[in-house]
Amino acid sequence: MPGLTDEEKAAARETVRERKRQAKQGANREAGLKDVLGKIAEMPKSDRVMAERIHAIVLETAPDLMPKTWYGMPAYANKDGKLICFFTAADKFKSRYATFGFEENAKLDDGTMWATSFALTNLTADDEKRIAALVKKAVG
Amino acid sequence: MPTKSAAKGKYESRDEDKVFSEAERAAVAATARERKAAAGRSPEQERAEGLKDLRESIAKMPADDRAMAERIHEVVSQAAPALVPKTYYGMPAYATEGKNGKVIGFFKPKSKFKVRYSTVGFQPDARLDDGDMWPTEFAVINLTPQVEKRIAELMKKAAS
Repeated sequence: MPGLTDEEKAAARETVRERKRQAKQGANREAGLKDVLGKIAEMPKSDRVMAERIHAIVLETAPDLMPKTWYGMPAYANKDGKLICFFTAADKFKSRYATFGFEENAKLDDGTMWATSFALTNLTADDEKRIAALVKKAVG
Repeated sequence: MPTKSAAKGKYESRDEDKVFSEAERAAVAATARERKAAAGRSPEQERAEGLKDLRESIAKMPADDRAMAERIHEVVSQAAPALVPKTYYGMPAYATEGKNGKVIGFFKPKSKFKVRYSTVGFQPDARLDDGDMWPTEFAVINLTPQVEKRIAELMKKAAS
């Protein structure tokens, strides 16, 4: 794929491997969890601390969600395999913040416009509560 | 050995053709074209060419996405006239001026990845900071006057 940066090319190659692996694994909670924990372990410390905490919050709030990686990011899918939410480490695209985002199967609908992705520069107790509430609503 | 690495490159790109969806491959191809085209333009050319690219991107959308994209373009142009229109992964986007203009916000039509809503999103150079957690992307299913106002305020703040 010409015209892409090295990071983008690496991300594309990783996604190829990820999709092949997931096609073989099927909906396997243990395998998905292992992939997610492996990805979190590779992150630089500030992202890792946040990702670990968010991982715990998501699974405490919505224990039925299945961990899996998505474009190499920790992500969580419903029982139909539809992605609900994901964590993008700040380091992934060399950004000044990490993000926690939701996909279209998340039930966050509120009128005609609602937030689907959030920048995170730190994770306070208030932020954790807000994330838990979002995840709860998303799977509700 | 060059022959071996060339063979591997071919194999991997065939692999990628199978694994990535048409929409994903189209977005990547659009990005490569955008980056190549942007090299060596003057600021005036950048704005004129960027607007042309943006209009072409909007013209290709299905009717409902197109109507929303056109209206959002009017709203953004009015709210943050200094931003430079362009495309970003083939989507209408608005960037800071200058040689290394950074994308501030973009419109992702729902037809792009065949999802149930379009989004208005912001990039890290957007100044929407509010404490240590703030929204950076919004689902938009209909453009009411209230929603238009909210988008205008966000874009204005983002570009401030």
